Amino acid sequence: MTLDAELDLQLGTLDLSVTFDAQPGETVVLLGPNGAGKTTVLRALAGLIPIDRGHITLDGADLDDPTHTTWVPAERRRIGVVFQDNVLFPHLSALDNVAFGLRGHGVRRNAARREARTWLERMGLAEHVDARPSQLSGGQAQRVALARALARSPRLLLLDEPLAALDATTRLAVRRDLRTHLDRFDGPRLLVTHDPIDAMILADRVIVLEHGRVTQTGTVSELRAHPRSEYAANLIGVNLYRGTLSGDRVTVGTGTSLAVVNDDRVTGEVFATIRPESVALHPDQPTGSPRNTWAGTVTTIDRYGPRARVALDGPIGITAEITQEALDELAIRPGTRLWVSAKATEIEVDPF
Amino acid sequence: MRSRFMLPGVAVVVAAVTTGMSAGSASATTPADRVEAAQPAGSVTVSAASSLTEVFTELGHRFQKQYPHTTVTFNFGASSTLETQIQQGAPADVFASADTTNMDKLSGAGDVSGKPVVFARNLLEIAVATGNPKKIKTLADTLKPGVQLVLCVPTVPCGKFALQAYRQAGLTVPKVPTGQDVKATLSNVTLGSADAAVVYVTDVKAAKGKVAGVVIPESQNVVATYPIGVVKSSGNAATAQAFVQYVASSAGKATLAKFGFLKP
Amino acid sequence: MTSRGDGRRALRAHRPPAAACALAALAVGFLVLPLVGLVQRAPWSQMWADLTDPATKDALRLSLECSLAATGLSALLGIPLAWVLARTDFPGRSLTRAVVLLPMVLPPVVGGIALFFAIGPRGLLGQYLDDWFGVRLPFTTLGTIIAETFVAMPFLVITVEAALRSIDRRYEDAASTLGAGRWTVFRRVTLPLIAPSLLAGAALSWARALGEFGATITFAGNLQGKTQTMPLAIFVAFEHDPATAVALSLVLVAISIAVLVGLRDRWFFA
Repeated sequence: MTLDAELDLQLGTLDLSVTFDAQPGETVVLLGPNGAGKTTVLRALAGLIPIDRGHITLDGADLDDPTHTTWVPAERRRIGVVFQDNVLFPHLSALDNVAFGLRGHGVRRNAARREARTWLERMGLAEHVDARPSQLSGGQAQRVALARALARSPRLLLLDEPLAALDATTRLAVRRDLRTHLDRFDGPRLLVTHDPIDAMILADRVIVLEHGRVTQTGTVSELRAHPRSEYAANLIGVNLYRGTLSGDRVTVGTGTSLAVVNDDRVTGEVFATIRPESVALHPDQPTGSPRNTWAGTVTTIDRYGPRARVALDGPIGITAEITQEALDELAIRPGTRLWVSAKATEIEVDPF
Repeated sequence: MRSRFMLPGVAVVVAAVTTGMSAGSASATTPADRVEAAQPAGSVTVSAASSLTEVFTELGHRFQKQYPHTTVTFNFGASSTLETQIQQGAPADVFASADTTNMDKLSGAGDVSGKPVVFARNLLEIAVATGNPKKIKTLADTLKPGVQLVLCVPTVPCGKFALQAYRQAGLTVPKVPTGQDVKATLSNVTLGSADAAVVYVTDVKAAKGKVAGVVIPESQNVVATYPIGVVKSSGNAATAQAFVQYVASSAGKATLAKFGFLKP
Repeated sequence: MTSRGDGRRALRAHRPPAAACALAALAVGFLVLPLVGLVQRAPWSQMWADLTDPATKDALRLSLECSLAATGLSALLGIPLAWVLARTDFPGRSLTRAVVLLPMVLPPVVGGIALFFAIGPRGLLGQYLDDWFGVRLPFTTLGTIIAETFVAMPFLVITVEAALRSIDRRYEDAASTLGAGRWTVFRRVTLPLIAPSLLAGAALSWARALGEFGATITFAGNLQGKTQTMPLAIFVAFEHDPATAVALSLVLVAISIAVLVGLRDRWFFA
């Protein structure tokens, strides 16, 4: 169930030219700003628009190959799609929505409805089977949309901004559930989003798409460590840690803890975010107000005009952004030992 | 229904006397002076039976030529329709009907000045497509299967007379399409939607070769009598009267004969 | 749902301007006056005789049969046409749409004459119908249905095209990705979504077909039992018996009011 795609197409002002693949059991997140062409990629894969050049191959079978005039229409591609805003059929109940895809293929109506019911139960929506989409909450609707897409046992699952329509609180819970549901699906999953947190939680691999071109692919940590474009840097370049907050300390990974400011007296699982610009580097152990200081070793350096990003190993891996001038002045090179400081007041803490 | 076939001559004399009496309101006239004194002027509207369309248009031109200060406007339609219109107050100065029934109705309602004049008669004829492809020779032939017949609606003179003719021929007419007046009925044959229509002899003649005519023998035929009269509510009684007189004059009669009408 | 309450509340908050109200009242009067004129002339004593007359029964039966058939035919041909106009792009599409909507603005009698010279006995196409099959459309019920469809179909096409343009295309995309072929998508997704507009369009067509006169009388002609629909019967009656004409007119008015009341706001403004 491998997806192998080379998409070349022109749509209005968009000039799309991308090559990528997706393996069974992996979630690939297509990340990029609006207008980058992410939804267009999805629509081309789904068979809703044809490509001009290239090919789309799923499981070794060509779905779209202009040079050989191969074209498999959307209804025969066995690809499940979860659309932005879910796009549930308003005139059908949740049950009939999920059963919709099952009914075409020689499956009789009652059998289809029974199977749809099982799916909805699996999604925890047993009491809402007869509800109309307008009566469902954002999170419930999203689960119905997912069940609907999965009910036909597709070979590939595509999701277009699945969390965009949800408010902040719902998004957190749904994102977690989504990870679970996605992991249960055997085939490759391709998810489109503009929110880097989505990428960080859900992605096994990220493809950064800008102006119709892939600017970078890799795991989240690779991206964070070596952003190859300003967009990626701005987006992914934050230092993100998962930990447990108790009192004024967040304990991350290996037992190291960070001092933070806990205004809301939150306790429990959290994300701690430190922007690279808030991280200072010192040749010697600093004294002064920063509560978080430790020693680390420079692993990589990336330059962007007047700025530079320095990634360091240590009790906590971190990326700092400093000026080129500072870089040169301190003669920083891979392997250099430096002290890192981060102010507690500049660490953002969000409940998980 | 009284037959009026004998009365036309009497009616003309009576009408001439009465119109002579009612014509001059301002001027004292002798019959001989009638044409010279008080030249007709102004406009009049003549509501006339559809079968009079061509001949009255011609008479109208001649009348206006003779009396240049007059304007004659025509309103052609089925006699019964025109009668209803006039009774309901439609403006008309002269009424010419294709049967005496409708004129009597109007007189009876008090809408006619004096006594109407019978000025012409007409006979029915079967109109068929040129070349008579369906080989229609008699009224009975028009009822054969495969022949599409149209008649005027029974409420107008030509429709009433047509049904009478069929009765006189001993035939029953099934439900057939109908036209609102004789010209509308005839158009079905000219346009090809019908194979035969029962209209007046003068209509076939006026169609000038677009249709062919099949004569209906006298024993079955019906004579239509055409009276003309001045409408009581006319705003220009003098000119209306002049027109009526013109139609009934020998000049008028000659024109009527040219178009195929019979002498009154 | 709460529209009535909202309306009253709105009235309290903002009284409509006096000038608008006066003109609106005038407009209503203008439209209602002819109806009042009819009702006050109703020949109640002879009404029953008029309504049970065989000619009347024929006319009523014909009117209902032909208008329903015309609506059905309009839907059968009009829905695919609306779909093509809404969903495909071909050179001359605007021109096609203008031509298709022409019967809406054309005087009906012009439509009748045009039909006559197209499919009448000596018409462009009609002469072949006659020569080869002996089929002549005037004076047949089929002719009446054709005349009514000609004037009524544009109403359905325009309503359905607007509806097809306004629905979210992604519903159809979603259905495709779920394995539905184009006909299934149309049947199970598109049609249900445009159903209210389709019904409104059908109702409008039906009303138009029911009231059609000019095209019917010029093309199909006047034959009791075959082509003499209510409007024709009323026209014929008016010439020699206005009272009967009023009686028949009131029947049509009653039917039309019943349909309009049944339709309700939401279908007009779907």
